[in-house]
Amino acid sequence: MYKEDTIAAIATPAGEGGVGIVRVSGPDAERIAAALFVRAEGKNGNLKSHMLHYGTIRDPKSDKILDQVLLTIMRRPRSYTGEDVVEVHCHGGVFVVHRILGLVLAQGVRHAEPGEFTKRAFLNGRLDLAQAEAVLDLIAARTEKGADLALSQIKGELSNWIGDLREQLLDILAQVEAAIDFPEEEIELLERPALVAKIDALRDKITIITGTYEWGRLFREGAKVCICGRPNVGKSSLFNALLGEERVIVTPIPGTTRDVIEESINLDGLPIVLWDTAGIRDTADQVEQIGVDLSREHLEKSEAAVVVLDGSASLTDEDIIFLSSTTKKMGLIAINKIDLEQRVDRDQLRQIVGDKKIVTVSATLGHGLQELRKSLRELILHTDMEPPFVLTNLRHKSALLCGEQALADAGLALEETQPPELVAVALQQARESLEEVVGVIQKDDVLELIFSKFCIGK
Amino acid sequence: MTNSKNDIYDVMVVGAGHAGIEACLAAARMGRKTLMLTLNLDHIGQMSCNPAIGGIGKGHLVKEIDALGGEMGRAIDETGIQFRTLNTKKGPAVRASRAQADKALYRQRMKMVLENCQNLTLRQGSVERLIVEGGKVEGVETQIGEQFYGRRVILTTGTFLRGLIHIGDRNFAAGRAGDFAVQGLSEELAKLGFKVGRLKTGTCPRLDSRSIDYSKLQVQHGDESPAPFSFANEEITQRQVPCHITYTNNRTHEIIRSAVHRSPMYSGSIKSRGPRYCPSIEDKIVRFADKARHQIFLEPEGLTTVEVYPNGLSTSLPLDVQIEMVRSIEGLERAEIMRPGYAIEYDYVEPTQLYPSLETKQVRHLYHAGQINGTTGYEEAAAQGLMAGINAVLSLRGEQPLVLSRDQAYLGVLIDDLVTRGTDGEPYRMFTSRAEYRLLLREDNADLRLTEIGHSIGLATAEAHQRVAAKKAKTSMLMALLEQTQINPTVEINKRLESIGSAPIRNQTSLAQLLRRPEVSGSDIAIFSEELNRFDPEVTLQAEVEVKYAGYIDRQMEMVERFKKIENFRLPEDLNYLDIRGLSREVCEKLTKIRPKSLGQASRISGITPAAISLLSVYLRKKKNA
Repeated sequence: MYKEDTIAAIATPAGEGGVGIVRVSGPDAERIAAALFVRAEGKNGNLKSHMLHYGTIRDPKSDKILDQVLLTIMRRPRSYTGEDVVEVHCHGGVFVVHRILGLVLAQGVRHAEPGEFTKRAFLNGRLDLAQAEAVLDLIAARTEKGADLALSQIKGELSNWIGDLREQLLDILAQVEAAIDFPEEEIELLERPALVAKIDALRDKITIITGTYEWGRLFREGAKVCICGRPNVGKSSLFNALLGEERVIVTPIPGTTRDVIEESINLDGLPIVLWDTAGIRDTADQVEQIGVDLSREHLEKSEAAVVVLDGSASLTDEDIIFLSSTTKKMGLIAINKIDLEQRVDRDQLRQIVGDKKIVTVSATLGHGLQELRKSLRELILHTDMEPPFVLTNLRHKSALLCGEQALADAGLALEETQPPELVAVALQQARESLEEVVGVIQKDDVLELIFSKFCIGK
Repeated sequence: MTNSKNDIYDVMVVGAGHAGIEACLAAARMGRKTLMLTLNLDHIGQMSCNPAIGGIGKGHLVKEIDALGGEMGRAIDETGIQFRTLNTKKGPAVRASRAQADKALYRQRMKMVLENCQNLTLRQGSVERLIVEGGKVEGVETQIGEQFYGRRVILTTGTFLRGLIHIGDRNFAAGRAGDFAVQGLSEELAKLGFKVGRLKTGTCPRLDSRSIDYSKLQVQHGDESPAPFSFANEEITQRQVPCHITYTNNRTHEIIRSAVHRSPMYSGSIKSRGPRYCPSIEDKIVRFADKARHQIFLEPEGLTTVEVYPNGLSTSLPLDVQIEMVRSIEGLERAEIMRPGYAIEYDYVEPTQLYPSLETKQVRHLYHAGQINGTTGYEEAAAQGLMAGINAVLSLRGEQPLVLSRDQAYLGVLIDDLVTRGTDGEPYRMFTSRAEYRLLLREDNADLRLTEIGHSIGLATAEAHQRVAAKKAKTSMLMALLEQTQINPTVEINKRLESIGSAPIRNQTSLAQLLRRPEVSGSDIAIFSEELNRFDPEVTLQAEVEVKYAGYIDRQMEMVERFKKIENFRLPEDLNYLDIRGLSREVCEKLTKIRPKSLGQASRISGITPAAISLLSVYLRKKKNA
C-alpha cells in the first residue's frame, strides 16, 4: 500500500541547459498533471502511460501560459520510483524550470529531499541496494567519465558481476554440502584440489575488482596532483599549459609563485585537482619560506607529483636533493624547456629517479603535453586498460574483501584436509559477503543446485 | 452416539503415526488426559515406506526428540536390526545415526508403550469432522457419528487425507497400501478456511528374500559397536543383520525408458510434485540419463519376515514393468515382488497457516503436526508431533508455547521453515544444510541443548536431567586435563604419534594442541595419558569437538549473536502492516498472511526485501519512542 505523500523536484542539474525536467512522484502526480497541463491536440482526458504528450503548462490562477512542454506520465509500478511519476520537460533556463516547480508545489506537493526519488525506488524494490547507491554517486559525480561509471553500475553491471560470482560460489558450496548431506551416494562429491582451484579463480576475480575501488574514488573525487621542483624550472608555465589558460603569473624571476594555486583539469575523463606550488629551496626570505613549507605540505597530501626540471640547465644540487627526497612518492619527471639546448645528464637522472617515467615538454610551445597527460593518467590509474566496471562504494569494497578472506579460509581448510562442514562455514561467509553487496538473500538456492546436479536419493 | 460432554479430554490426537505417537505420549506424560484416535489400532507406528530411522539431519532430529523426552530414539534402539553412524570421516557436527528397524517389532513396541502410558486412552475410528464453536475446536466426530470432546485437538493425519494410490494407469483411494483413506476431513478443513494442497510421494516394491541370490552381492554390515540413539541407552542388545548392495544396469534403464510413458508421473495422471531428493527410479533414469548405474540397497524389513525393501527402486510403473525391471538387476534375476511399488497423492494443509506453536491461525486450540504440514519422513513427523503435544499442554496450563530457535535445534529450524516459508509445493525433508548454525546443532550435544528445557516443562525425566549435568561437569574436567597435560618430544612419544599417522613433536606440547591436529582423534589421544581412559566416550567426544571446532564455534556464536538481535525484535500481534509507510502491497499481503512473531522471522519470508525489513524496524522503533 502506498502511504507516501507526493514529492517534486527539478531533476536536471542546476544551471542553464537545453531542457529542464521537473519530476513529480507519488499518489497525487496525476492530479497535478491534470491541473497544470493542457494538451495541444484533443482533450486532456486520460493521458496514456509511458508516452510523451505535447502541450502547455498553465498557471491555473491567472490562466497564463508558462511554457510549451512535453509531459510524460509513468503509472506505477513501471516507473523509476515505483509510484506514479509525472515528468515535465520544459525549456531549460533557471527561471522557467523554477516557475513550473513553484506551480507544482503550490498544488500541495512537498519538495523532495536530496536522493528521495532514489530512496523510494529502492524501498519499492525498483532498484537493489547497489543500484541505489550508484544513483547517489551519480548525483555527486564530477565529470562525464565518473558519470559513466555510476551509470554502468545502475544498469546492473556490479549486480550482474556479483550474480555471476555468486553462482560460481554456490556451485562450489553445493559440492561441499552434497558431500555432507548425501554421503551414501556413489560419487565422491568432494575433490579437494579441483575445488581449491575454483576458489582461487574466484579470489582472483574479486581482487581485480576490489583494485578498481581506488578508480571509483578517483573518478568521483578527482586525484590530487602536485607540480613541484626547484624555483624557475617552469612549473607555473606547465600549470597554465595543462590548464589551457594563463591562470598564474609567470615571470623569469625565480620564486614568483608564493602561494599554492589549485585548479581542476580533466584527463580523458579523470578529474584532477592540480596544484601549482612555490619552488622548493633553502631561503632566508620569510615569505618565500612560508610558500616552500606550503609546497612540501601539498606534495605530502597529493596522490602524485610532477617533478619539473629545467632541460636547458644541468641538474643542480637543489634538483638532486629534491629528486632524492621524492623517490618514494608516486610521480613522474617532466623535463621542461625542451625547445632549448638540452644539458641534463640523462644517465645521472635515471640513476636518481629509478624507474620513474620521464617525459619531455615545452610548456611555452605546448610540446609533449599530450604525452604528459597520458602518462599522468596511466600513473594515477596504474594501468592503461579500461576496466569492465569500477567499484565506487566503500561498503561494496569491504564486503568483497571480507568475501575474499572467507574464500581464502575455505581454500586453506580444504588444503589442510579439514572436514567439509568447516569448509562450508567459510564458504557460507563468503556467500553472505557477496549477497551483502546487492542485498539479496535466497536461502534455498544450494539445495536447488544439489538436486539439479546430483542424482540424490537412494 | 455421543460421548458425554463431561467426559472431556484435555488433548485429543487424530492419528497414530510417528507424529501422533509423540504428541500423545508428550501430552499424557505431562499429566494430561489424552485420547488417541486411529483408523487401525494394529497399524500404530507403521513405517509406510523405508524400514529405517535416522540419517543425516534426521538422526539429529531423533536425538533432539529424545533429549526433550520423546519416544522415537528409545523405540529404535530396542527394535533396530542394523545401526550405522554416517559421515564418520567428517567432523562430529555432521555425523549422524541411522538404523534399520524391524517394522513389526517397532509397531508392537510402540503400541505397548502407548497402552501402558498413564492418562492415555486409545480408540479406533475414522475422524471425518471437527466440532468447531466460535472459532475454537471443541471435539471431533467419526465416520459412524461418534463424538469426542476435548480442549485441544492435534491432527496428525499423514498421507491419509484423500489419499490416492497410482500404479501404472490404475489408481484407487487408500491412505497407504492396505489402509482406507479419509475422505471428508480435508473438505471440512477447506470449509473452515484452510488452504489445502496436494503432494505426491512414492515407495518401492517389496521383494521376497528367499528369491534373492545374495551370493554375488556386496554385503553391508552395520557398525561393529552400534551406537544407540537415546541418551538413556548405553548399548544395543537387539540381534543385528546385514544389508546388501546391488546396482541397476543398462538393461534396467532400457526397460524403464521404453515404459516410462506408462508411469502416472509421465502420463500426466499425477500433477502434483514429488520430492526431488527421493526420486522414483524412472525419474532418476530420465533426469540423469548419462548415469550408468544406480545403487540399490536391499534392506530386510525385519527379523521374522522375508520381506525386503529395495531402497532406491521407488516406482509407480505398472506391475509387469516393475517385475521386468527388478529381474534385470544382478541378484534379483528370480526375485518375487510381494507388494508392488506405488505413488500416492494426498492432501496437505499449507503450514504457513500455523503459528510457531503449531496451533492453527484459523481455528484456535487446533494443532497440525506431521505429513499434514507437507513434510516427509518419520523423524520430521515425530518432531512436530512432540512439539504439538508439548504446546497443547503448555497452552492448557496458560503458559507461553515452547518455540525453539534456529540456533537451538533442528526442531526449531524445521518448524520455523514450515510456518515461515511453507513447503513450496514439495514435501519438506530435513538436511543439515538447512541449518545456519550446523556446528552448534550436533547429535552429540542434543541433550546438552535440550534436556534441561524438556525437564523444566515436565517431560524429560529427572534422571536424564542429572545425566546431562554430570556430562557437563565431566567435560569441563577433561578439557582442563587436556590443556594441562604436557607431553615431551621423547622417542617413545613420537613413535606413538607415528603409529597414528601424525607428525612427531619437537617441543613440549599439550594434549589439547595435539588433538587440534585434523588426523588425531579423541580416542587416539588416550594412548598418551592413562587418566583419559576413565572418561566416557561421549565425554571424550565433547572435548574433541570443543578442541577441533575451536574458532569455528566462536565464529558461529558471533553469527548467532547477530541473528538474535533481529530474532528477539518482537513484532506486536496486532500490527497493522497497512499503516507502515513505503511497504509495497505485495510485502504487506505476505506479512499479513504469515503474521511473523519476530523481525527475524519476517526476514525469512520469501519475497520480503531487506528494504522492507528496515522500514519495519524503523516504524516499530519510532512507535516505541512515541
